[in-house]
Amino acid sequence: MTLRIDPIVPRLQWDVLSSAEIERINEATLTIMEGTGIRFPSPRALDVLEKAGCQVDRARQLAKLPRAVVMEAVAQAPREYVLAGRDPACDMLIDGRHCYLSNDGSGVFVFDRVTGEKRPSTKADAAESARFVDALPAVSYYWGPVVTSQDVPPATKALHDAEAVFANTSKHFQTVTTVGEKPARYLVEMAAAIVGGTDELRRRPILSFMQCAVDPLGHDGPNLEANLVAAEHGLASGFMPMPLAAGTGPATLAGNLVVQNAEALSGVVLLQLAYPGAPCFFAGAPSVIDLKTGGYTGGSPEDYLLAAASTQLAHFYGLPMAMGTMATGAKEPDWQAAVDDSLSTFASVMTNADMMNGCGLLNGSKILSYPHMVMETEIYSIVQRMAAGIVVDDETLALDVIARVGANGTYLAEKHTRRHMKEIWQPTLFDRTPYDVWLRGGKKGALARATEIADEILTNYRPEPLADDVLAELRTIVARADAEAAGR
Amino acid sequence: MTARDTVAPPARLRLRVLSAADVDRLHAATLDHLAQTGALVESAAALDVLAHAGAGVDRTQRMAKLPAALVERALAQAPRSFVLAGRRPENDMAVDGRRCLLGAGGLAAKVLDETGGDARPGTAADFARPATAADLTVACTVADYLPEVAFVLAPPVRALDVPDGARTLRELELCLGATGKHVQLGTPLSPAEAAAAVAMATVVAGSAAEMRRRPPLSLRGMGPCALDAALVFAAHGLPSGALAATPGPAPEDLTAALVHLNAAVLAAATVVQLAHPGAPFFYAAQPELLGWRALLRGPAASLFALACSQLAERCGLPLSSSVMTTAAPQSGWQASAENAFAASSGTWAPSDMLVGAGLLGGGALYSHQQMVLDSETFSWTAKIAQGIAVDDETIALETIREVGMGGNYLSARHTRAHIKDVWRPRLLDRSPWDAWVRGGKPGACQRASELTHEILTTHQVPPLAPGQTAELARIVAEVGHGKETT
Repeated sequence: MTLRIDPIVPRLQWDVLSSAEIERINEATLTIMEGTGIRFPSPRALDVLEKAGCQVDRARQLAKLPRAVVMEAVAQAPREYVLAGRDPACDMLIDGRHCYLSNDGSGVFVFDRVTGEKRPSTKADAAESARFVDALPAVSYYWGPVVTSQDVPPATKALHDAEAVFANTSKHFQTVTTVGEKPARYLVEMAAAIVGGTDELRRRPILSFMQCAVDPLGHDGPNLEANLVAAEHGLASGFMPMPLAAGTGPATLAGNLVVQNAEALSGVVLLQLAYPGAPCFFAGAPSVIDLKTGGYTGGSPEDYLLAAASTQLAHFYGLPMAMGTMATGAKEPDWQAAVDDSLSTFASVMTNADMMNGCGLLNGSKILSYPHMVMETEIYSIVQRMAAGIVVDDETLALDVIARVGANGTYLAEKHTRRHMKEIWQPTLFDRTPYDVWLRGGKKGALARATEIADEILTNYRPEPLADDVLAELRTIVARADAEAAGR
Repeated sequence: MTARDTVAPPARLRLRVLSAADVDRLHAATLDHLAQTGALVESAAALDVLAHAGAGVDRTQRMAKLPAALVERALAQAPRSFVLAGRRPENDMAVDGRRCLLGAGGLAAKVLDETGGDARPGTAADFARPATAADLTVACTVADYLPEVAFVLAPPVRALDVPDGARTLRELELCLGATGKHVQLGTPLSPAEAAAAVAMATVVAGSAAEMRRRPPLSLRGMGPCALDAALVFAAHGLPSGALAATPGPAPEDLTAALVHLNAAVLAAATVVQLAHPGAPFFYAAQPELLGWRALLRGPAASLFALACSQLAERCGLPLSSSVMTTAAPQSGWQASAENAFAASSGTWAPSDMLVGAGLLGGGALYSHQQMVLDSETFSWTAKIAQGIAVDDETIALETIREVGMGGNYLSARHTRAHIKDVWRPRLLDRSPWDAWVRGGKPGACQRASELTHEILTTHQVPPLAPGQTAELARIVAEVGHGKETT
């Protein structure tokens, strides 16, 4: 039986903030939540917050959250839970020890397999991307969709995406495009149809939700309402702030952390007040303004520092973190993509980010490239080995072997060597042949090898299918949503 | 282009791969190994030093058993901090345990020449050829310009057009002329060549006393005479790093390999400190010195470098690691990923010195374009190592209140005060897709190539004084002549 998912369980730990620094950022965050407040443009959300003792200004749609309310609510959130796959072998235990990689999401283009040109994505691409992710053990769950269905009615796009995804992967699905109460309820209905009802869905939550926050210090109404539906059904959900340092957040990293912390934390507080004990998580995709374009950098040293610090903050509150990882701004799988992906993955894993979103997209999460996704899994495997660290014990010290072999002997014949050789990391894509051999071999690079692997998966891989009656039921639900959206 | 000041900001963050107990255990295992099994010591002079100090020496086997107390006493003499001085004082860099210094090169026998024609990205297939004195000068000039490069590992590429007998010192002469930065000699030296190199450093420094104060040359000892050469350097106060002997094949296990290397370093450090107490000496943890490239590449190389930084710290020596030697035969994705991890482990440990920038093909090739790319990677990881400052000013509570919900920070006074701290790339592309396509889809490799071209067209390295040039040539010729007559 082949491994379905292959999370990283890091032995190494890297702290970018000291405990005292975390306390200081927490204190500043609570001060802002209590004194300045957070915007919640949802009557339902404001009702929940007011009832819990928050000071609510309906005209400005803001709530000031007293620190006692915040800390009490956060304490209700579970420290540990499972994000289930349709295939139980794909279950993810979210426990602060495992790091799970997903694909990147919400892209809008693909590099066409035949022409190689960039083109808008379709529902068929959403389906194909799910099938692809299903095949890669390094990618533990499906986040997104990777690319959205742009050939379907815009109002129900998220449900079409979900139909394509559910049919093509038995891994866990975390939606990032389902906004508003109605679409969220349809989506829950679809997931329930797959597992056999809403009670079973609570037991085997194959679906979770992530929403963006609105920076600085606010949320979007439909996003809040969708996550409230998730929490109502016992499905995990979280909010992803993306304050851009020097744009929608302070230029200094510590200040930026305060803003994003307040946003992520306020979302969790709302969900806990509405549904105490509902599984929640922090999310983040921090970045800095690009001084040339005013856009986000798509990879910079500050991004990774913020990522690492945010993850420490989430864990300070006892909450899991879903961290923007990889997602390079590079336009091709090139030098820039590799530095970016390597450092970003290293930062996320060394701080034990529970979920990492994710691989497969180029140009700042816009364009899907399957070979690029394969190349990113190679970087993931390097970080996986590094995170395993170095074990120092009698067996690995091998003092008796060192003494026996002496200064100039050989280790090759030793039993100890044979036992440990298999632990040495072996590349799939990296080339280590001598220069002349490489020349004679046709100068094949990592991209060429990754393209071969991607083509093999796309041509031959078949995921565990959904039963025909379930597929039909999903179709019916989506059709019903389409009709309702069209006013029929 | 005028050279900009070298940048080596102190690291606030530290990445640790071993627990304190693990470090103690490895240190103790090493001392035990040195006392019980002993170390292979290739230098006869070193064996004399050890015998004189009371170590058990077997001259036929070239083995020495070093009591733990002797090793600890010798290590206590070694300075934790010293200066790698530039020929130009503004290029002086501190080895102080707080920052990582990047070294360009070296010793590559082939070069990928992307500078011959238009500024365009080089591909290995087109340009790999034996390196020459001209390539060496170009490499030193680029290194002299790049602000991330603290020193040159000499020679960055070999000068294979120079006759074999005089090559080592001629290469050193070329390096000293072609960069105002510190030069660290990496070629194997005979004791006579080591003495000549010291004489050349004295010429550059102006006097023996000034050379001790601001050493413009150091040694990363290689080959069977490494420890002999280190003893010559140490006698004159020039920093060095060497192993007692080239260890045998590595055990296929990182932990055992660490003990193996640690023993070879500690034995050498003991010899140097016994002979010249207080001489600057560093921990050379370099896979190519060991011939352990099969074990020490990929993630293991980074882990090894990080672990060595802790072992070096435990015995109070600065560390030089060289994991920035990608196996990739050309610039691009693989070289980038490998060197990103290398630069991370170098800057986040931090390792005091990190060499190998610009190398490809596991050290066999040198590329000027790759040198520029590696510099940017290094700058990226060094910025991460600076960490996050958390204080009232950076938390910016007042500004957060003022901007409030949905506002913009761009025009805030606080932003204007701190925007200069934001890292700026030289090579990364962040342009919109359409603009990128219209521009001919330039990648970082192309920009690196263009920058190299620009550096070579405009950057002037301040020359040596005419008297110095003549004196260096005289020393090189004298040793060359001596070799010919013997």
